[in-house]
Amino acid sequence: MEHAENVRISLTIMWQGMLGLFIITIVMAWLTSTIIKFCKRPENKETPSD
Amino acid sequence: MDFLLDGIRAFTWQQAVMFAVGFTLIWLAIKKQCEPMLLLPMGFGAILVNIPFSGALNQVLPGVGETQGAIQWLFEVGIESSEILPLLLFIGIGAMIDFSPLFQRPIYFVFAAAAHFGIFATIVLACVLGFDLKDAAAIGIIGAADGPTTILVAQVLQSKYMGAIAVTAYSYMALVPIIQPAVIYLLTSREERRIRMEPTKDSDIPRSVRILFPIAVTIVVGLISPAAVSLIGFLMFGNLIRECGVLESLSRTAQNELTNLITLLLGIIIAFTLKADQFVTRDTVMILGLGLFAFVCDTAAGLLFAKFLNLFLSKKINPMIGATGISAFPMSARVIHKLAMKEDPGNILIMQAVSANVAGQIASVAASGLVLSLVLKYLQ
Repeated sequence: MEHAENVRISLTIMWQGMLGLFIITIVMAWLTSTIIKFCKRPENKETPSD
Repeated sequence: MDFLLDGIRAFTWQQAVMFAVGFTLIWLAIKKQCEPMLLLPMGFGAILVNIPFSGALNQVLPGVGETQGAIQWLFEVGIESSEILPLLLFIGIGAMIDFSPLFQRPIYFVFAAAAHFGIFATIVLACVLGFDLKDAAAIGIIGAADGPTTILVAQVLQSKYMGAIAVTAYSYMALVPIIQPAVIYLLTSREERRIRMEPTKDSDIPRSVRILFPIAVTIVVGLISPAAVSLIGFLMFGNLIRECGVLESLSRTAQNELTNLITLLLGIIIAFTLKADQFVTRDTVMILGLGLFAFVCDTAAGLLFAKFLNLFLSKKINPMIGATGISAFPMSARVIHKLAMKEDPGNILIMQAVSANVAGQIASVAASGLVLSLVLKYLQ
């Protein structure tokens, strides 16, 4: 019974974990694009570091 | 003169097996150059802790009581009580990573998510095979393809298999150039491997982006997955030191002296968990198999996700880019670059591969935080 419960929980962890990971990475991709767009606006132009 | 034979008489066949494991790790490190910085200290440490009555471990001596062994003490202080050594290593890793290729292609973050499916698939398989949830989660993290993360999660979850998990993780990380091409050849056609991707003209990235990025990543990942704060925080702290432009000497120290020192200690300290009574079991063999399953699933999931995206895209993505979403940096990117060149000498995918590969560094930490959060939630 405990074994079946563990397997059930692991399946829940799988879908919740993958969903969470996709959400985090999509948010990160959006945030990175936003930061780049904001920092590259003409009024924010600056010398690149390298 | 009987005391001269005490050690030899106490020697067990399990300890002999661990000596063989130690020699194998040393051989792999020196002869095959597989992750030598970790496998060599681990191999030597495996011999050190499996000598009967080893002074490197705590021993109870008649008339004296318990004496402290150096390796056991270092393990208890540096890993067991605070997980500080793997975390300090993250500062060095963060200081070494240049996220510039990812800034050119932020959407490549999603490949990193797909290429961590192996973690979760392995947790399920480990549970099916009878491991309890904590051990299954610790074993699944082998799929993060990230040594310090694997050690840290195994320690937080108090897994009794930490030694086997660490050896498995580092061994398969060294075997990425063999595992990934095998999976790629199995799941892609020659035409798919020859897909050319337009070289994007890399523009200059303002320093403000490089500075804001590690701070933003820490806040976002920390808010969504609080269990990952120390992992992502130390990684991004190292990166902030690198990119801020005013801490050159600290950045160099983090990249060189700090990383070398921690790596040197970490390998031999982890050997504490390679004691014969814990390592020479049927479970270790299963963990080796599960580790391979994790790496194969990671690569397959990344590939298949890229192929799925190609169903909707007019400009096709070379599916091999999906496989570089794992955290084995920069090995995975190099492997895919070489494979692409082999199929079509004019097909240069290195920048795209590196973009997904550095995203994998962040995704592996985020995935580990999610696993910790979810497992701890269900254990309540």
